[in-house]
Amino acid sequence: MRAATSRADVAGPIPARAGIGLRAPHYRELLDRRPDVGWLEVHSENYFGGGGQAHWFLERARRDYPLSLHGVGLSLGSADALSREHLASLRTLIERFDPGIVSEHLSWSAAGGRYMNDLLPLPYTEEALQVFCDHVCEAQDYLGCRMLIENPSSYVAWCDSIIPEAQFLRAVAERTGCGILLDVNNVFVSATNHGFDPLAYLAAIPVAPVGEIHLAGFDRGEHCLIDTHGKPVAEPVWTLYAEAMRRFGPVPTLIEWDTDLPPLDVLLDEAGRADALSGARDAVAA
Amino acid sequence: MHCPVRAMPSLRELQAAFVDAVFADGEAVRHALTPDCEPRFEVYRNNTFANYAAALRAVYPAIERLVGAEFFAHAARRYVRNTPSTSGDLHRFGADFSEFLAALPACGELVYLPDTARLEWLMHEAFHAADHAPLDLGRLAAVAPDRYDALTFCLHPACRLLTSPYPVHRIWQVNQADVADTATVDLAQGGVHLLVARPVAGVELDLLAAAEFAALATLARGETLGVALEQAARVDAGFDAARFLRRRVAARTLVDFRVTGGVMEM
Repeated sequence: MRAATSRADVAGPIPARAGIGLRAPHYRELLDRRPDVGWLEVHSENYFGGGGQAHWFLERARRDYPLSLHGVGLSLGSADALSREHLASLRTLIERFDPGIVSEHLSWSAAGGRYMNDLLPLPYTEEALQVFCDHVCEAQDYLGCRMLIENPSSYVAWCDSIIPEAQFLRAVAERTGCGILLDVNNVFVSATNHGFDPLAYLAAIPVAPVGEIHLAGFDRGEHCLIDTHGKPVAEPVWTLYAEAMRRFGPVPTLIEWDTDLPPLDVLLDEAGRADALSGARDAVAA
Repeated sequence: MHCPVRAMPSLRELQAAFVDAVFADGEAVRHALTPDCEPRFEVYRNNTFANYAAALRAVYPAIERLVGAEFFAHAARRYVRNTPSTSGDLHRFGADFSEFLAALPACGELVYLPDTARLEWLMHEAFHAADHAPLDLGRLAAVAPDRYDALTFCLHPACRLLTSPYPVHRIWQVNQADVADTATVDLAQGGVHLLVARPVAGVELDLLAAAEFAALATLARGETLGVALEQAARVDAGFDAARFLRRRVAARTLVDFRVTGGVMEM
């Protein structure tokens, strides 16, 4: 990350246009076709093994595409100490792939050493804010780079939460210097589930720290919307994205798809729609 | 929010209660979450079990085919409940599934099941393991012959050794998705010594002679070549040491060496 623009063997920093989440079933097709998409994002933990096919493909893809490393397992919001082993694996990966963005979640996934490998909601309390900020600072110091922190989707809320989520995220950015990865689908899902106004949420997010936006699809569960990343981006989320573009301007925007992975072209079409909405397509054409 | 009045629990207590509620008892967390979302807690429970079950299915496809999808789902659910994940890297989950299967009474008749699971876990590890450049034979040739016995070798990071009283490589092969259900394995064909490796791109299974397996297993423990060759000769008096070394270097099983007592040769 520190040398994102200086290494000659990899593509440059992440542009303010749409990228796609790269998953293993698309490795071969991506390398064969080298489609015109702005950048790629992968889940950091999928490369913690250190070698093999995943690394082979990513190294080749990295030559032609800017790359973002998106973590799902650091558990920044746990009362437990951060895992030094996890941080060390992430640092090794950063040194190897020189990503333009390194991101994690406003969530937790471990308690008393037991991991859930899921993105669980925090109680938005002063204590949790302190713990979260301490962990972000520790991680940024250790990794030697600024991180972006993503707002989660959630299905339950804690009685003890006294800080609205957007304000909590804003405070994290102010206290730690981290950036914000604004997941517009998560805003929509959580707003629907908890009955808050998604536009007010966007308005409470400060403009300057937002360094990336996520778009994905959700499913309708019996009692709430579920953030499955297994569908096209929903129409109301596109509408919210257009609002977000008005507020935050063109920002690197990721199409995320994890379950029921469709053909690569579907992701590319979604990325094209995001570019058209943000004006990035015109900028690229000009 | 409509919550009962009580002393505010710590973040640590809330997170412990949440985890308890996913795996066992939801009483403590019920009082800590807003009442309107109680039916939605099930989403976390479902996600957790579905994620871990999917991780196990990805690592253990042959086991799933051997026991059937329904029993596998049942076994996975029990395993997930009893075996906490200890890493934020989901690829580390499921390491001792073979021991869990061995202890299941219902699997008692499938005596080869635990070793087949062990094989699948080792293949999973090999798939993700670090890369390593091959060993330069020229470097080896530069070592004085009287030092050979004192050499120790590094196996490629993806190499794993497995010995089993059952032909688990055949059991694994006939339980791949593209093999007909009617394929059978004669258990009487006996045990195997296997090397799981990733010499180029994909994970491969190499069936080894007992002496060669003994030599590699000894080297893998960090013993010298002299000790390894003694072990191999005990199994097979005619063991060809030079051929073994050439073949294992060419196959990228042995990827580095050092002279014991000396400095690492680079």
